[in-house]
Amino acid sequence: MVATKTVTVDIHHLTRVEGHGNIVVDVQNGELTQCELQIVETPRFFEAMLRGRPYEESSHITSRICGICAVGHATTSLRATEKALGIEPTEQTVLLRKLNFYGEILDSHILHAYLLVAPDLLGVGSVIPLAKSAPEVVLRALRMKKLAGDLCAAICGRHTHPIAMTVGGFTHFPTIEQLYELRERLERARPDVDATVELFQTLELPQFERDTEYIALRKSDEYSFIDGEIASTDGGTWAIEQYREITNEYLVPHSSAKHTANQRQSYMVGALARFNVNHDRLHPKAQAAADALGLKPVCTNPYMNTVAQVVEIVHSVEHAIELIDTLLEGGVAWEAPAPPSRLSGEGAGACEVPRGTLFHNYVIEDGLVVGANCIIPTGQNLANIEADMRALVPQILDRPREAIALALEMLVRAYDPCISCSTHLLDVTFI
Amino acid sequence: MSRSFEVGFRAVKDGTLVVALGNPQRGDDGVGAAVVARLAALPLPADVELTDGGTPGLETALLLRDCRRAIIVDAAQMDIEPGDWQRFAPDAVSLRMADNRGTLHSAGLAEALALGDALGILPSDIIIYGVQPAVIGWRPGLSAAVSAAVPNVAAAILDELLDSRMNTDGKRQDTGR
Repeated sequence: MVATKTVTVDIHHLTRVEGHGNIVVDVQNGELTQCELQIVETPRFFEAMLRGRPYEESSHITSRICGICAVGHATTSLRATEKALGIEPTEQTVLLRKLNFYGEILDSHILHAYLLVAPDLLGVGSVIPLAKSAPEVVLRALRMKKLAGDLCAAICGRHTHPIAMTVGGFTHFPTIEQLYELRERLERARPDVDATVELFQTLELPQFERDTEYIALRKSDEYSFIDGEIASTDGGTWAIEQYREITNEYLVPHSSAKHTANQRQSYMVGALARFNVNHDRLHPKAQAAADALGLKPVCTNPYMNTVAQVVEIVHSVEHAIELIDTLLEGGVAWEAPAPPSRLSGEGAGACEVPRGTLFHNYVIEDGLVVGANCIIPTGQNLANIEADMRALVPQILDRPREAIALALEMLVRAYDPCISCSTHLLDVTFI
Repeated sequence: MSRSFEVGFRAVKDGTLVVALGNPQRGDDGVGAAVVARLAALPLPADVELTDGGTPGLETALLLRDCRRAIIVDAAQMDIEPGDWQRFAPDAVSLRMADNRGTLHSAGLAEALALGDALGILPSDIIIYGVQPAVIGWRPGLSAAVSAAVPNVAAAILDELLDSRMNTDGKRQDTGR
């Protein structure tokens, strides 16, 4: 009967994602005629806002693109500016930025895994009934999120829209006492991290495989979150400056966010892509967690993105402790930000923010931004999500309409999409 | 007396926490912060802590943890005259999302109270002072009507803080200008 089935799924305003998107699937007599993730959020025009602004303001303006990955936008913005103006951050700056970044990765991944995805896997509609049925799970999530936020607050003043990060360095430094306290709290969080791995071992994720291209930043000596080369599971590496060669943005009528494609029709970025590209660079405890969770490279089940996030939670806590040890060993000194060596130039920065690879590209003339381009992870994932939907729907057509809708919602949520970040329907011509 | 103006989670154990919610960068949404700032200049009982909670969303639930009584001050859309205010119990705050499934951008006080209630971490005594805003715009500063209400709301809260008989009387419906 499946072959002649007619199903229409129209999920208007998908919940438990950041921003506004609709899922529209139309199957007529067993044939998939429409399968779209419609992005209906208004374009944001941040790139236009940057034009004419002093370069020092870029990170503060662009951090407002997102309230969840504000540190990611600020860091990527700083790297683009620093490359444009020939600024070399010190080793201490690099260490502090990495540590700060882990605060954001933890905050975002805990939010997604516990508050947005776990309700699906535990069969409840949202975090509120989950808090009733399993209060210890929600309290653990809130406890870990609090630690993540406090980590960022100690390093960059506050998590959402950081104030102490500046071009070339920091304007504020954590005290040794704060670092000791953070280290102790991170150590005390290990049972919560272990419990997180155990929780996701018990949760059953949908079985669905679709091979695609996975893209992430890669470094020779670490699991990269800041800088590196662009690397693909299909082979090939690109300098960050060549980002347009892999993103190849194009417009589709049903989305106010652009789609991207590299060596195939679509590619995936995010925790699962990072794991697939960089699993050999994970902290040993995170590798052990991946084994325990049954996550093996190259994993082609997009629902496993949340599991890869759990693995990155383990990595972030362990590497943050190591970074604090390095900082404590050397001491944290007050440093003036590294100065620019020129006031005109072009630079591209890239970071692995919670949802995937983020690119910022600025042209600066006489200290003013004259051109800007920001390519956000969710935009890069949209074409891949739709390709997954097209592959998934025929496999689940025998299910009731509600079950099809739920499977599709869970698929989109697995990507942890940040829809309002991804809309930037603005053609930028570099001068 | 412990008074914190930082966004934090340091509620006084077994005391009263007065929490301002809202964003002072957005016009009358700063009324909570203005009321709490006024209270900070007044002599208060030792077990009272004042906090500017900002706009924490669901984490408001954690903010309210561990105190005996919480008094929340926020701008509230009540379709009354700007600057008029009401004192009410949490059950008067309705959940905006009828299907209770929530998105990140919609988590407000009602959702935070629902989460805190589900977790069983809320104080037994929660009182909300809602002030009707005139303008929630894109610049700081209170409208004249809301600005004029600030001393009155602060005085009403001070009365409540000084009068323990009201502690258990969550049903009282004060209104004023």
